[in-house]
Amino acid sequence: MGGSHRTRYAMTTDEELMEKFYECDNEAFDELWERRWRGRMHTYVARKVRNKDDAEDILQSAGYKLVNTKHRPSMRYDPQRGDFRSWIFRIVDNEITDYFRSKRRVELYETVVSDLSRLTAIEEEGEVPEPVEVFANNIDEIHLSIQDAVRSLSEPSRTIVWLYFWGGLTLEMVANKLGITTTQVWRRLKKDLFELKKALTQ
Amino acid sequence: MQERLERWRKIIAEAKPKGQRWQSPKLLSSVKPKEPPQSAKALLDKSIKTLPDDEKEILQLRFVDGFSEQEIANAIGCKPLMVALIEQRALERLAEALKELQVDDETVVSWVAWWGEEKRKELKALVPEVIAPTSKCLSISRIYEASLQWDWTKSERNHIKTCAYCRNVFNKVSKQVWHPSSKQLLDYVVGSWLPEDDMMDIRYHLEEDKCKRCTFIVGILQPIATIQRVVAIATTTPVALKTAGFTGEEVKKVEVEEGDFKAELGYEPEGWVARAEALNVSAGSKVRFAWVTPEGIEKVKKEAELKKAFGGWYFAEEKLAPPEEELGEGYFVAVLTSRD
Repeated sequence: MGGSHRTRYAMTTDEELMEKFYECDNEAFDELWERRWRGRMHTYVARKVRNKDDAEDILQSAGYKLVNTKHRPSMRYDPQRGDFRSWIFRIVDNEITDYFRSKRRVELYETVVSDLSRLTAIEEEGEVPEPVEVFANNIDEIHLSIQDAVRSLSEPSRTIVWLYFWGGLTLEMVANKLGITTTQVWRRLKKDLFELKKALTQ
Repeated sequence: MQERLERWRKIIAEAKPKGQRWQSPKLLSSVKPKEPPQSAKALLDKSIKTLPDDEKEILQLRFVDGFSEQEIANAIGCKPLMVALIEQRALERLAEALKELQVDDETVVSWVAWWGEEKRKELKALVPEVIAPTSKCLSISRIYEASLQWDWTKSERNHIKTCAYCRNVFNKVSKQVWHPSSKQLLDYVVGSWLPEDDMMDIRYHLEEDKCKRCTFIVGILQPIATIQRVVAIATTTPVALKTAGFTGEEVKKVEVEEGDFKAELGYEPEGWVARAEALNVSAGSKVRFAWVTPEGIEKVKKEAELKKAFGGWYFAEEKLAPPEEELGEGYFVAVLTSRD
């Protein structure tokens, strides 16, 4: 695990290093995991599990899982199926999930580990709520209330509502801007309308 | 649903703030941490704790773990803009919560960066890297490869015996290293249908990785697979019993199993005793126990008939070698054969 190859791989991307490893270059793997990712993932894992031995175990297991993909071609990283960093995060997250499961602390897993995935999670299918009633005599007040309600939304909800209703963008355009699927935008928008309705009827 | 959405569109569109345009949030590249005054620390910490989970997570990923917006975006499958939006919303909430302190947005960000550094220090204290790899340590990829091919060099062997880190990695890898099941190897040997992925993995395992264990098992299965029901199981790597083994630690007993067939080998006062149990096998079924060197030589082999024990379980026991015999390093292999 020497450092002589460090400069050799200075310009090599993570994806290329993984490809070289699959072609039996073990030093490429050392550069990728031991030098580039292991240390960076250390704080992330430690923050989740808060136990020194378990954090080390999780990182070792994650390293093992990465190596295992070389020896099982069916499980190899495929650039066409997603970004490398997303893939490596998923491997580490799965190890953390297994850790919480093995400790039978599922409720913690739900609140801690799934934070990342929840950001782009697709909600259950639901209806668009019945709009709020607007009366002509208090129209300015209603407009100000709507603006306040939109401003108080969390992100990316606030941006979705802004761009879709005020920016004239289609759902597809919003999805493209945020890098998520149209379905995710649509489902979030429906949820946001409930939030707006709640804020406006309070 | 569409009709309701159109009504919402009409109501919200009419409320569009005049002269305002949507503005993309700034991507925070590097923020210089600034320690807040003592009086603000508790409020800052409390305010961060009460943020919505998504926002708290993004701040932790950014300022505690030290990932960039681009890296987080890649990890969760979105664009950096979305991460920046959530981050900005979190900072807005914090600025609101800290309003009474009359500080500007930039100060809030620099305080959050300070908070991240403090948390990182706390974590480092909590998680010191007690056994970190040194430049002499073996890569996990080499340990995996050598676990299959058992081609350790002398210096690698010496290193593993003396290095706690590598020993730990080896012990973990040797337990987890992937081998096809006996059933998969059997199907592969006789040419039965196997899912394409399994076929690809097994071929790589045997032809590219040249796994010693599975090559030996294939050698057992090949001549008898079509005439008998056969299950062949073995330890994932060679082991050394009773004496200080590969990692310098003494192993007293090994166990192997697949489905309803289990076998074990242990050192007992009367010698090296192997036992096996199997569920619902036909009368006359036999178990062959073997101690196979890493070079594939059957140093010791004994056969025993499985006897009915209780329920559908059958049992066999055999002394493989007298107590004074040193078996050395090898795979413990158990092969169940029956004619049903």
